[in-house]
This record gives sequence, structure tokens and C-alpha cells, in this order.
Amino acid sequence: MSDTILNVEHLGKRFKSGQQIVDVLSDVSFSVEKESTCAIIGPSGSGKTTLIAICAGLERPSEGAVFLDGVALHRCNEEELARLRNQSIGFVFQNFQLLPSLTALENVMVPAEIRGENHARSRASDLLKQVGLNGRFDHYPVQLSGGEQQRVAIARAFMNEPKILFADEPTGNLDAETAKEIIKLLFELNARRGTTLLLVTHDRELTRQARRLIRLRGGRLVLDSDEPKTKPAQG
Amino acid sequence: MKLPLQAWIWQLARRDLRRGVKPLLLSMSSVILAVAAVVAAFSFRENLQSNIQIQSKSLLGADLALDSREPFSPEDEALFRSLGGDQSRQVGFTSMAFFPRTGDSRLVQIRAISGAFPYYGALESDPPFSRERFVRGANALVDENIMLQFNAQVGDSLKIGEQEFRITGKLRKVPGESLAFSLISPKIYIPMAALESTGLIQKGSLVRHRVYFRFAPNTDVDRLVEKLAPELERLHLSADTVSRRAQAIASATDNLSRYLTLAVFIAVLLSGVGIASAVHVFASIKAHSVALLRCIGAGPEEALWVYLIQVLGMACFSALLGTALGVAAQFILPYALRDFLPVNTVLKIAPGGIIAGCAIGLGAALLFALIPLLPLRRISPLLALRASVEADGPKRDRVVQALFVLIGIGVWAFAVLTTGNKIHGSWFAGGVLAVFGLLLLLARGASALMRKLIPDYFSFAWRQGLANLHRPNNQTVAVTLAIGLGTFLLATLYGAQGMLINQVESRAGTGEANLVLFDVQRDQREPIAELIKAQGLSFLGEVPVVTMRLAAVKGRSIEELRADARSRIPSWALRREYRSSYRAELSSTEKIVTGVWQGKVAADTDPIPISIEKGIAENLKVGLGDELEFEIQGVPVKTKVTSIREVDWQRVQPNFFVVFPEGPLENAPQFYAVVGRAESAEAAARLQRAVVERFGNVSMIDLSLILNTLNAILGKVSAAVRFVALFTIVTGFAVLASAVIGSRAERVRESILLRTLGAPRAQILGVIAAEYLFLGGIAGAAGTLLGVAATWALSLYFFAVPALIAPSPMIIIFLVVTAATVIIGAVGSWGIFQRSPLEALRAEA
Repeated sequence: MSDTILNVEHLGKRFKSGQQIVDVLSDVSFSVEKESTCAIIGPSGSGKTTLIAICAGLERPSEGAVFLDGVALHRCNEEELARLRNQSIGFVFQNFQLLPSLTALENVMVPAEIRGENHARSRASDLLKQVGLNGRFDHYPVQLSGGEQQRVAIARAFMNEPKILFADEPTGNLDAETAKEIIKLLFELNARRGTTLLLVTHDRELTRQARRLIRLRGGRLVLDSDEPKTKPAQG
Repeated sequence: MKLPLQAWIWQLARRDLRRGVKPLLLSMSSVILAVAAVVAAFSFRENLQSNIQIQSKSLLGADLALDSREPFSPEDEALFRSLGGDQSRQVGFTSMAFFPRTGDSRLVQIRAISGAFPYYGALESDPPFSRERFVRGANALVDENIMLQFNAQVGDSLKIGEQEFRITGKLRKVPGESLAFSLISPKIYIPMAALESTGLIQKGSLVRHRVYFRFAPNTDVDRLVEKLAPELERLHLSADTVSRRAQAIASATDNLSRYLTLAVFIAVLLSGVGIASAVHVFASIKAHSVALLRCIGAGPEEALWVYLIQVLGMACFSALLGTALGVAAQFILPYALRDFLPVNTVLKIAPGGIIAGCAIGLGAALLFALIPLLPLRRISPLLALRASVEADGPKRDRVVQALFVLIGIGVWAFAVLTTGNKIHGSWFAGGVLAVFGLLLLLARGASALMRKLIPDYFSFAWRQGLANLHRPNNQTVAVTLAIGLGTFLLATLYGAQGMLINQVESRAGTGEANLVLFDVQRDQREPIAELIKAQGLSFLGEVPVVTMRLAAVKGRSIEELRADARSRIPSWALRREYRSSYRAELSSTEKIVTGVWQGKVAADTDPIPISIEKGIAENLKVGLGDELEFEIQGVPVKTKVTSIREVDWQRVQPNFFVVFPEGPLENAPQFYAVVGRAESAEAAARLQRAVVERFGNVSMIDLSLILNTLNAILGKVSAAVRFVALFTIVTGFAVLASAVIGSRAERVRESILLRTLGAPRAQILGVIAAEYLFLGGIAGAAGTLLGVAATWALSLYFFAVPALIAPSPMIIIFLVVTAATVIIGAVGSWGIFQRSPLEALRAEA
């Protein structure tokens, strides 16, 4: 059985901006092994968020292919992608993205309920305890601090036991102290559950803790710590 | 679209509502109003038709009525005797009524009655009608409107012709007749025994003789009349039965109901705009939640269903409230429309009306709610990652486009069903959609202009206020439609009313005749002319009037034509009594259209050349050279059409369908109409008083009477129309309030930011005031301009009169609407300063 969970082959993405065509990603190729942790770094506008959006099936590439757990994402329709996101993918966002009208517990339960699970409540309670929010189950997002909201988001991301977890700047809106706690939590849970972790970050601590580093610049992959021969992009 | 069978969708929809239904509350008011309006209209219609059926006998007051324009002949009496049953008589004619206490007089309909009529229903009066008291002496029941007009009291005396009467009651209602039409022709009832003493029934007087019958129960009156039809035809008697009267009234009131239904449907469409606007705000709030649900595995339709269920639930709950309100509101309608209803409207819960009204109101609400809601299924999950992302799929949402088409078809279908006529329905639907479309265009155009044309020298408050008209999620379209439509209706209503009044008023100062005295006998001509001159008024001439009936048209007898089912000549044109004249010259109100005018011929000319009015020529299907045979007091008179005239019927002077030349009719039985001019209403009233006192048989119409009558009728009509238009206006303000509240969050954020940057309160208030001033101004101007255009179109194509639109009511409407919009906007924004920015930010988050 293959150890590769994510396979990206000659990925390209372009957008039309007015009369101009902008190449956000060009010829990006890499693979990610199961249970590994990989940080994607690069300056603003280098295509990091676009890359993970395509890898997570949120965006379609202009060219190339993405295989997630053996499934060709570029050949899936929207319903199939939704199922895949529910069953195999977890998400943590920079701005937490909790449903404002649901409590912490209910926010965590949502992915399992979408799947049709009847016993989501007890598992969600466990997860919230694991992220240190025992006693805050019935609080709404507006009643939680930024760090607490991100904990809820992390618990939700792990609810369906995803094979791969994507995190887009998970500590971007947090102070240094809280960010440290969140990073620790993320990696602990990740190690415990054997999930592959792919995160976009500027955070040095996160970068340091990830086993692998992929650097983008100008939409191109200029450094892959697993590929010593990667060269910086020309021009 | 798949059905939401998964439990989580329903669970999430329920949980999401816990944090408050405020976003949906805004749309609730529109749904409630929409459903209430339609339920009220449909229930009222159902009740009205039911009441007409139940009270049908009281619509006629008898089982059968037979009418004649001549006194009943012995043959007629023999027929009546053969029919049996209880019988009552009525003699009706027009005459002047004089109130000696106040010196006022007026043209009225006199009805002399004998017998027990009405057999069903009652002559409603105050004090209650007592037949024994009424027939004992010269008593009169006088129309409530005239009593009010002349401040007459029960017990006052009243002179009709030569006889003085005592007013024994204020007449409120006559079986089968509505109060509004008594304004045109107010009635006075007198006992038949007192008729002769008035001295008004003379040879040639225009009198209607009627006999009422009450038969044994279960008599099939319609079959009886069918059997008697040839006999009635021969005797020149016309029949009215309960079923015919009920049908006629049902048809007339059905028109009233249809109008009411169409009017409230406009309110429904407007509520739809409000619903769409409020749900648009709701959808904007939920967009990020939808994106997130998509990220964690919900399909596009599943995510949509979460919020669609909420909207559906809100709509159904609002529909229930609206239904209750509508059932209650239908009890108000009879008060607003009572002057036009010929029956006492007993109201009850009308299940059919409720179901139909609820279905239409709810259906419309859902269609409009779907417009902003359906795009949620195209929300990209990328929105969770980025601040703004293009929607999934092609730019144009075909399903939403199909929705608009469905709404258009729905409007057309409703209009056709309600009017019962494809062409009328299409015109109505087209008109409504055109008004909506034009208002939308004006809103968008104004918004686009603001973007380009805001001058730099405007203050910050004005520039910011104007910029808010085209910011994202602006309410410009919703407010313009809401306020613009109500303004349009008001402007059209006042414009049309004012224009009709102006038509008559404009005659006042032109030197033309503004009073006519008619039924003047030969020996009264000179004394009346002298009286006019003695009072200092202008005597403008006298016109002979000869009454005659048609005997044959183009060689075919009237009986033959009336029996011929293929004849397209209307029955009234064949049966009516023609009041014709003779003169040597055309009058100033006439113009020859074709043929040659012949002013004088020899007395024994046969056939006599006549000039016939264009409209009646078309009705009788005659042209130049065709022969008509008339009968004057039994004497046949052969005539030939030698010219056709166009007549200006709006001028206050005698006009005739048929005019003879001088020569043949000088010796025919005739009376006269005298034409004059008074420079003031007081002078006309003085003359009227003097004429009634000396010449009881002479009636007078003057311009002030026409104006007063027209004012009174138009006043009642426009009051009723305004009441119905109120549905639309209230809905308009509800939509405006909803739009104001919907944009409140945006306004709070703006205010917080501006306060943080150092803007004083006055400046922030200035921004709000500027925004609503322009919104109200745009909407008010758009609605007023459309109203002026509609009035112009109505005057040209419907009333066929020159469009004289008074500017001042339009200006007032525009100013009031703009001011009201600013006030509502200011009230809705109240309280944005009362919390600290931090508190407000937390609460709004």
C-alpha cells in the first residue's frame, strides 16, 4: 500500500484579473506521506493558500492533477468533493470560522452530523475536553476568546478522524503565548491520531516543528526540504 | 433539488434560530401584510357574493317589477290583474325639490309609491319607516345626502311642484341601491295619493311607471317572464326579476371585488420586494456559514436547505398571523366601501377566501424569498478562506432567472383570473410590471449617477450619504420600489380626480352657458326669460324639445328588430324616448362630420331631413340616406338622415341625438329648455329659488350642481380607492422600515468608525439625513412622475379629455413622501449613538 496521502503533479492555477492573466501557481509538484507534518511557507501572494485550497478540493486547478488518498480530485464533481471533505479532510482556519449561532459543543458535532452519525455528542465532548475546554460546551463563539475559539475549531477538525488536516495560518490571529499553546495542541492531537498535517504558516515555531518544509515564491516551488536539489525560482 | 431528508439539516436549522430570529423578523412583517391583504380581499369577495344570494329578494324588494315609460294602458292593467299576487305601484320622475326654511332647491328623483312595497328588505330611514304614518297625508322620505347638504331636519316642509310636504324621515337605504349613486340622483319618496296635487304629471313629462308583484312562494318568476316575453314586448313593458337584479348587482359588485383584489395584489407584489430585500440581508449574513458548511462536507443544496427551512418556517408562521389579521381586516372593508354596496354585508369566516388568500400570499412570499436565497447554493467554500470569492458556476443563475419568469407568469395569470378577461388581465399585469420595471430602472440609474456625479464641493456628510446609495448591500432598489409605488398610486389617484374636476371647473369662466332650465311649458317661456333678465343674469336662448319614440329603422319595425337575434342594435337605442329639437342653425357645441345641414324645410316635407349625432348613428347602424320613422304622440313621422354631427357633450347646454330643421315640428306637442349664464353660484341659487317658487314644474341644472355632485362622487370614490391603496402604502412603509432596520448594522459600523476617526454626531446624522433625503427624493420623484404619466394616459385614452394636471397636489405628494422617508430613516437609526463603540461592536458581532 502506498504511503503517499497527497500527490500533486505539475499543478498550475491562473486567474483572470481584468484584462490580465495571473499565474498564481506554476508547475508545482510534490507528494506528502501519511502521518507526516509539512509546512508551506512563502511571502504574501506566493500562492500558499491557493495551493492548499486546491489540495483540499476547494478549488479546481487550471492544469495538473491532485490525488488525495488515491482519489483524483480534478475528476470529482462537487458532491464527491463534499463527501471527501467530510470523511477524509479536516480544516483549521486563520479566523476560526465557527458557526456563530451554535455552541462550542454543537460546532464540534457538525461534521459528524453531516455524516449521519447519531452519537456525535459524546465524541465531541471528549474532543473538547482534550483541547482543554471542559465546562465551555454551551458557550457561543462570541463568548470565547480567540484562543478558545481556535481550540473549538481544532476539535471540530478532528471530529471525523480525517486522514489529512489542512491548517491555513492557524495562529495568524493569535498572540504569541496563545499561538504557542495552539501549536502544541495541534501537534499533540496530530501525533495521537496519526493524521497527516499540511499547514500554511508564517509562524517560525510551526515551521520549526513541521518535519518538512515547502517554500513557494511567485507561484513556484522553490524549496522542498525533502528534495535537496530544489533551486530557488529564477527572476 | 433533492429533498432535505438528513436529520442534521433540520437540527442545524433549528439550532441556528436560537441566536435570534431578528434577520428573519424583517421579512415576517412583509409576509404578514401580504397574506392579510389577500385573505381580506378574497374573504370579503366570498362574503359579498354570498350576501347577494341570500338577500337577493331584497335587492328588488319584490318578486317581479314591470316598467313602462307611459301611463299603464287598460291592456296593461288587464295583464297585471291576470298575474295576481300582491301588487304595489310606483311613479318616478325628475323634478325640483324646494326647502322653504332654507330657501334651497335641488333636482331630485321623485318616487310616488302605493301598496306594501318593498315586500322584501325595507326602506331604511331615520326615524324607522312607518307605512301607516307615511300614507296619512302629504309626507316625504328625503335622501339623507340632501338633508345633510341643506341642513334640513325631520319635520321641515318641502315643496314639490304645487304641493307642500312634511319631511317624516331621512332616507338611508333603498332595496338594491347603493348610497354612492344616490349622490347623482337623490330620491324623495311620497305617497301616491299626493302625486296629483303636485301638478307635475302632465302630457309629455318623462315619467317611469312601475308595478311590483309579490307571488306565492315557489312561483317560478323567471319562467313566467319568459312565457310573457312576447306580450311584454308588444305592450312596451320591461321586466326585472330577482334573478336578473341579483345577476346585475353580482356583476357590478364583482367588479368592485375584482378591483379590490387587483389593488391588494399590488400590495402583495410590493411585500414580495420587501421579503426579497430582507431575505437578501439574511442571506448575506449566512454566506460565510454556508461556505464553512461546504468546507466540512455539506453539499451545495444541503447547505442551502438549512436556511431555506428557516425561511419556509418563518413564512408559514407569518402566513398564519397574516390570515388572522386578514380575517379581522375584512370587517373593516364594508365600512370603507359601504357607500358602494347595495346589500348589508353580514360577514363571517369564509374558508374558501382564507385558503385562496393564504395560498396566494404564501406562494408569492416564497417565490420572492427564493430569489436571494437560491444563490447560497453557489457560495464557494473558498469564502471561508478568502474575504471575497466569485460564486461557483456561470455568472447568470438560470434558476433565479427562471424564478423571475415564474413571477411574471404568476402576475399575468392572477390578473387574467381576477379580471376574467385575457386582454384586460394582460394590460394590468403589463402595467404593474412596467411600473415596477421603471421604478427599478430609475433606482439603478439614480444610483449609478450618484457614483459618477457627486461634486467635490459637497460636504462630507452629503458625499457620504450619497455614496451609501450605491454601497454593497444598499437598500436603494427596495426603498425606491416601496415608496415609489405608493407615491405612484397616490399621484395617479389625485391627478385623475383633480383632472376630472378641472374639466368642469374650466367651463366656469369662459362666458358659456352654465345653467339650463327644462320642462318649461310654452306659456312659461316669456315669464322665465323676464325673470332671468330681472335677476341680472344672461338669457342665452331657448330650445324647443319634442319627445318621440322610434317606430322603424331602415324600413324595419322596432318590434322586428328587437325580435331579431342577429340585430346588433342595442335594445336601449330602440326602446328609449328621444327628446329631439328643431332649429335653423347648428349650435356652438356641434360640428357636421358628414352630409349637409338643412336648417329649414317646408312643414309638409316627407321624409323630413334630420341631423343625427355620431354616437347614436353608430348604435342604430344608420348612415347618410337611411330612413327612420318616429312616433310623436301616436303620429308617425318619416325622416331621412341627411347629416351626421359630432357633439361636445361636456358643455352645459341642451344637446340632442336628433335635430330636425325648422318647419315640420312647430305644431308638435313640445316643451322648452332655457339656457342662461350666472356669474356666481349665489346668483344661480337665487334664480333657482325664484323659479321653483313660481314655476314648480320647471327643473334647473347649473354648473355648481354638477361640480358639487362630481366632487361628492369623486370624493367617495377616491376615499374608497385611497382606503384600498392604503394596503399598498402601509406595505410600502413596512418595506421601508424593514430596509432601514436591515441596514442598521451597516450604519452602526459606519458610525463607530466615523466616531473613532473623530466625526461629531451632527455630521454622522447629516450622513443619515442626506442618504434618506435622496432615497425619499428619488422614490418620491419617480412615483410622482409616473403618476403624472399615468394621469396623462388615463385622460387621453380612458376619459378622452384634455390632460389638465394640477401641479400643486403632485408637489405636495412629493414633499410629504420625501419628508416621511427622512423621518422613518431617522427614527430607525435612533440609538446608534447611545452605546459605546466597543459595546456596539461586541453586540453586533
